[in-house]
Amino acid sequence: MSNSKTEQIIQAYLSELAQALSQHDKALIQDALFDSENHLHEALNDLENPDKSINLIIKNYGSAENIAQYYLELESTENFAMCGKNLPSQEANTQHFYSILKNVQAYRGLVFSLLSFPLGILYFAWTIFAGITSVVTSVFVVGTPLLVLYLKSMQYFSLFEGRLIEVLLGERMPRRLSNVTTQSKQSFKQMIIAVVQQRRIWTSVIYMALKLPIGVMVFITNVVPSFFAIAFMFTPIIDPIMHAINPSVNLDLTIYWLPLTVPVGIIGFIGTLHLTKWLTGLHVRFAKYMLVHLPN
Amino acid sequence: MNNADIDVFVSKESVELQVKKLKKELSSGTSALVLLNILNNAEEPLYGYQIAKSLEHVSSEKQGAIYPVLRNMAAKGLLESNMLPSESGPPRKYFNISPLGQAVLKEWIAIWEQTQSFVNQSISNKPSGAKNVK
Repeated sequence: MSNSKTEQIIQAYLSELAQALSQHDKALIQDALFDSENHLHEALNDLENPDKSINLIIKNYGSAENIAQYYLELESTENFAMCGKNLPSQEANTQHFYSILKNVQAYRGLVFSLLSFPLGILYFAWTIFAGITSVVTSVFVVGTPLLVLYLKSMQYFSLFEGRLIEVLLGERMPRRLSNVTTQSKQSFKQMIIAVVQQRRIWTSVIYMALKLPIGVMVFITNVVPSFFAIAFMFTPIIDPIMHAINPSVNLDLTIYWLPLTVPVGIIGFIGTLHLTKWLTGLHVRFAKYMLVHLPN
Repeated sequence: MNNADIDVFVSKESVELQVKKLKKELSSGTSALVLLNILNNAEEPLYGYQIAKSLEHVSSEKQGAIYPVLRNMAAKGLLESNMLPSESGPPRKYFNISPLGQAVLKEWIAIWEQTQSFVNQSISNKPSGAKNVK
């Protein structure tokens, strides 16, 4: 069987698998496709494997329907607590304004917002400077590998961002690199085309560039207000520190202000937590759309 | 087809269904233990296909069944994983057992031995109450 015919069968199998999982989490689909594609290629390239027929390899690996079942069973029975997928909260509908103080997710969102700013700078610097350099040099043939390297680096950045989102915000994101289908016998030109045609790489580039303005925004809306809210709650400690750092500050929040500053601080902090939770929820949806590979 | 034939046909189907059900339950309960043990005995980290191949002749499960289990165990910290490039194709994810995995495996083996001995005992001996049932 020719290589292209074999590749067609593999791609048809992967499409069938993606179809069988289509109603489920995109990150789960990406993991299942990655595992399956790698296994099938490993089996084909295995010199000790006497069965070089792709149909037999697929038969031994499992039908798309079976494989989908394996992933779904494990995801639904075991994965919730340990791997970041949250069980729907029964209290979600009965939560009141103050219960956010006990919500770990909101605090994690605050940490994510804090990290978004420096990460945004890092991503932006790499995306723009390395991107522009590689695009400009790719005009000349020698620069083409630089462009491919740059686009491949986006996969690592988006994997890192995905892991951070899963750990801090609890949304299921890919746990492995998305797989650009490349065969060992592909020419360099074909490899470049395969990389450049990946829609997800380009959406990752856009995401990484947008992470800076988003990072600045969430820093201003989430981190700064929560910092001031906490400062308001502890004015007797903060006030002398503030004056020690800058004696010319005209604001004098003595202990007499405490009955006013504490409630303002608490309400401000609760409000910020609500805002943080809402904004990080939006961010997760955006990240998922931009970073998770959609099967063709 | 007479009634007796239909009865035999129906009961065979039911038996097969029940056999399949038990096989599935046993397999989902033991696959993590088996995979953890393979990685514990391995001298070097192994990647998915290597593990699938080593189980080829001893497991009735499809080769693809191990991947979600490996991924799940890695997410729980029982395995450590490392992505390395391969000469012949896409990068490979190598797994090795973590210290947590080793501790868990020890406990799992103890539970498995207890279960095995209990099941063996109960299927080889008639329960004492059964003698009195007439």
